[in-house]
Amino acid sequence: MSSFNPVHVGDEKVLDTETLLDIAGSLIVVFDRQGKIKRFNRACESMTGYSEQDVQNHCVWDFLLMPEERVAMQGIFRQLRGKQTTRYYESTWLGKAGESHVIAWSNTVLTNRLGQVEFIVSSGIEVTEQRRSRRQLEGQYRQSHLLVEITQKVRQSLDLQEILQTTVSEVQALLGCDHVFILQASLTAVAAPIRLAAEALTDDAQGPAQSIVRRPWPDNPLLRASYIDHYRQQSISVIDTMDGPGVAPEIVAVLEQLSVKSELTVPILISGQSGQSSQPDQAELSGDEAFWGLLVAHQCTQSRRWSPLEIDLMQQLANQIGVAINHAQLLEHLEDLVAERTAELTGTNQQMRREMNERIRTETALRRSEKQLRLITNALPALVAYIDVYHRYRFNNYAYETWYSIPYEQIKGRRVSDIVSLSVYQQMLPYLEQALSGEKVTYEAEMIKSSGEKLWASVSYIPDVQEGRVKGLFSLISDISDRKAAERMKDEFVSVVSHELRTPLTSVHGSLKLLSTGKMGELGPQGQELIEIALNNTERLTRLLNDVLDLERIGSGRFSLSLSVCSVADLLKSAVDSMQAMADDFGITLNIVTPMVRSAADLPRVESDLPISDLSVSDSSADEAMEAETVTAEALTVWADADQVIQALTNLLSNAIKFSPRGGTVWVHAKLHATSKPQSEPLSDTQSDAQSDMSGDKVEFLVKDAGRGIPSDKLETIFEKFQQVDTSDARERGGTGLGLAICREIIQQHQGRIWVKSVHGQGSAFYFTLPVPVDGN
Amino acid sequence: MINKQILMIDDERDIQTVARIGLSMMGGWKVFTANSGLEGIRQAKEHALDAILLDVMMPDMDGVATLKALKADLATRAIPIIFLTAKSRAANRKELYALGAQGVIHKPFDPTTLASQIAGFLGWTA
Repeated sequence: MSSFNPVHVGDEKVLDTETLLDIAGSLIVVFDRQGKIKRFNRACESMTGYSEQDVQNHCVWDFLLMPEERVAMQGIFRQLRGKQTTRYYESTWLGKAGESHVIAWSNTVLTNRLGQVEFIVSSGIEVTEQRRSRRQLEGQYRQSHLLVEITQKVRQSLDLQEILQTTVSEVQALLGCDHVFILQASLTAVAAPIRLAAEALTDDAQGPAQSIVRRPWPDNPLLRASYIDHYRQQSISVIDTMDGPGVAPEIVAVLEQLSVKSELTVPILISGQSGQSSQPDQAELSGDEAFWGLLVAHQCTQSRRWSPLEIDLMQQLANQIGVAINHAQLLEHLEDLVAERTAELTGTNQQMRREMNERIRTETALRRSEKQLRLITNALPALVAYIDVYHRYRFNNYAYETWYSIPYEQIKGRRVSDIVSLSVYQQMLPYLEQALSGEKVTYEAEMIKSSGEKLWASVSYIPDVQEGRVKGLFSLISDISDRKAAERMKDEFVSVVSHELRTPLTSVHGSLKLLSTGKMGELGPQGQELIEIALNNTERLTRLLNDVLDLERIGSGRFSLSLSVCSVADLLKSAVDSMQAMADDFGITLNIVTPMVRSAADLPRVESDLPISDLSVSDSSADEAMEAETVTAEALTVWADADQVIQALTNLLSNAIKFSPRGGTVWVHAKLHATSKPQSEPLSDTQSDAQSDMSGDKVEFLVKDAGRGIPSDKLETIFEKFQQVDTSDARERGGTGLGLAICREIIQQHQGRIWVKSVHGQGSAFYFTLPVPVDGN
Repeated sequence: MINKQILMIDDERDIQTVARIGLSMMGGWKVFTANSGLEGIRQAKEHALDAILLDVMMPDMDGVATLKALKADLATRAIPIIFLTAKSRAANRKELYALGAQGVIHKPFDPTTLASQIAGFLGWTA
């Protein structure tokens, strides 16, 4: 030991080393160099419950030290023996009663003369309470830190499950609980499932919380009816021990089944104002806040007393979880909205893509079609184009390009007025407008090519009508210069022929006429006969010439009618008057049979003069198809070219006179037919002109004779040129074989029909129709 | 209907002759003849004419031009003009009337009834 000198008061030793050690408040232990305890002062005895004798010559690591510190302590002593100072350290002793004491030690090494360590004096102060306080502070810090972490996670993370799992894991670790879990529960739905939202547990927990979850409300011990109101008030259920006050026996029974010794249950409430709750029933439960579920901590190994700090932490965590759930629900709602909107956009996008694909397909097909169309139309000499309602070219063929000396690309899309000259555009504009109003237009015009060459063109505009609307027009332009030239030549030829043939005929005919009067001197019978023959043939030649020229003129297509409102009575009278002389020569009576000149009662008799019903017809059921209406002749009018109609009537009358027996009668008749539909005719076009017949009201004309009639085999061709019943007719009757062909041309020009009924040997009835004026015309 | 003086303007002498004989024989009229429009205009001023028979198709100056010249001249504008035409088209006839003709007679005409045709157009009675 050290050379501590005792303190004496007089001779009495009042303070020596032993006394000093015992009265010292600090813990003082003296060890020898092997670590065996040599002194164990009173303070040590008081703290540990061991006496000095109990511990003397025992090493500190034999029983005083906590087992886990014993090895470390031996190391410290080795260092001390080697004079390597480990002056300060802390160790935990176990008292006799098994309690632990944390002690902060300070060491002093005592050496002998040889400098070897002889004793080690350790002076200590118990710091158990300080260390416990420090741990508490650290725990509080960690709790605060955890709360901050979770709060931040709630603020930052959008993954609710992650937040819930982090919460239970951290709480389980921080509080040292055996089992921490979060339940989500619906309190209103009967037998509604309880969902285990998150869970963290140690090996000491008796199985996962599924056994609790499987019990739906209200049978679930955690969700007892009596608890619910408390939960809604944000009340916390704290069970430190199962035998504690206020714990219902049935709860105890259930919890003991799970080996739960202590339980802390905190309700999780969510904002009912969000309006976004996925469980609106909960929101209904409590105006502002709704019950969502529970945060539960179980201690299974032993009962524990839940500290206010722990309870507060759980409460705050439950609040943060509520906020997180609200966020998640809001996010879910937003996600729903986003998903909905995304679905809409996706749908729209797909629709647009489909439409775009469809358009691309259509355009591709159109381009292909246009290419093919161009290939075909490029082979045509005619100018082919498509013009839209804005007068823009949408398509044109090669002939267009050469005509205007402009490449295709520069024509397509440009306005007509940009391509053609102003004068041509002004000329074509009214026709364009007419076609764009839906009417097909054809006209002829003199045009000037880009080369300056003038030519005649036939222009047709065909409106493109789709779904009742005009989208544009097809333009067809043909160079008809050659045709025009041919027409001019033909006109000149006809004019020359007409003049050059008529002139000598006029002289010959006139001379013969004058000679035949006998005023130049009488001729013998044979001379007179020759004069007659010459006259007849001259007249026949004149008629032939006139008929040929008439037929050419009417049939040329360039002949235009001078249409006007004509009185039917006047037409009949004019025709009859002009044929009266001929009728007189042939001894024929001409009878105009109209309602005006005959009583209506006479009509059937006149019609029945011929066995009409037995007649072979070249137009079958015309009579049946139309219903006659008696109208006074003054009121009966047609929309016609009077001269042409008179010519047709005189031709028919001429035939009727020529082929009637002397003393016979030729009837002329007209009547109104009010009908709204074209007649259905089974006959060929050569006889009837059903296709050109007009619908609506019409006047039917009839020229009828009781002559020799027409054989049925001739009815087919009677209206053809140079078709006569008997080839000798031309010679004997002075006919040309062109009269009926001319009649047909004239009636066709009027959009009328002409037909014949005839019985060979009994007579013929020629009919034709003409339109009545409509709307004043 | 006697004592009428007519001028026949036609480039065809044969037709002139037929018409002249027919009119003089059947109507007892005096007929002057001219081979062209210009000659016709000149003669129209020389004679006191009751009517002019005017051919439409003539070389150099045709019937229409001749009519216009006659109608443009105060001395001749009052003389009734009747056309002789080889054309039978109704449209031609209307055009000729529209020019101021009093009548249109088609070739070939009947010389035996020519006088009565003219008288009919001009309202002459016996």
